[in-house]
Amino acid sequence: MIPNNAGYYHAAYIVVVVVHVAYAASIWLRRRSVRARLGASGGARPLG
Amino acid sequence: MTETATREPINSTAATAVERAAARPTFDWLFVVALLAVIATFIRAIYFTPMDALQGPAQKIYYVHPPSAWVAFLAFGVVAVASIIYLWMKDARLDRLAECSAEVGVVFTTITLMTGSLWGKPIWGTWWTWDARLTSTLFLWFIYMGYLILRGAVEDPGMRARYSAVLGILGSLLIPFIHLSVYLFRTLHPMPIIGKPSRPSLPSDMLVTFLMSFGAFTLLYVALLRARYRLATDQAALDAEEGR
Repeated sequence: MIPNNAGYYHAAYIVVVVVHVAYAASIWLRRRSVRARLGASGGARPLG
Repeated sequence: MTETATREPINSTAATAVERAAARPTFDWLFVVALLAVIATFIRAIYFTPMDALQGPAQKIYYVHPPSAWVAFLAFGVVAVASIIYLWMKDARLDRLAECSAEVGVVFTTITLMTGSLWGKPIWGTWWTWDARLTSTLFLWFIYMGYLILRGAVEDPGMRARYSAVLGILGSLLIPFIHLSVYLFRTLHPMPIIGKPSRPSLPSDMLVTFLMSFGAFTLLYVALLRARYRLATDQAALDAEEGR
């Protein structure tokens, strides 16, 4: 009989998605902040 | 002691750094390609790859756990290579590359540890065991977390780059030990499936998904590294503008 442990596998895939989305968002937000400050000095176009 | 151990700030003014930052694109097509590759891999793993009769659905964690570990090792390998060349050439771009790769590597190591625990609970009956492979991977995570903390703690750019390069190189020495730990010690952790001298021990359907996952995660690493590197160059331009 195949064991019923699908919850762990679903949780693992959710962890992968959540961690990557959070990290990608952190890069985007940090870069947006840096470019806004650069933009204020007349250098770069702000993100988003 | 203040050092000017990096090449880039010497021959670039704040104005040119800001102009270069302004010229950099904000949309990343590579990130979109990597995202599509990961989505395709997940769909194949979830819907089109057969389930293991002994382990059940939890076996499908294999399609995210070893690829994450591989990417973590690759990322820390890039840290080591960039750090070695940095110590030789003193080029700020290499220090920046090492920093960015270390950060992405920590993210993938975090995923490796978490997905490993989620596989261990149903298969071993425990979330964690102080096994050689698990403990050394946790130690690797601590080393590179320390690397990132060190970078935030040292203000002088030359000293920060030099200290972190040494730590980045030393940390990477743990990678071959982690890979070989399943051979060197009696451990609960499974033996390598494809990173071994003999042929891969997986049915072809599972092997294709497994290899696809390695490719997709490697692409995701490159995309995240490139995005993070762009952030680092913008930050360097801002620092130059603000006279830091």
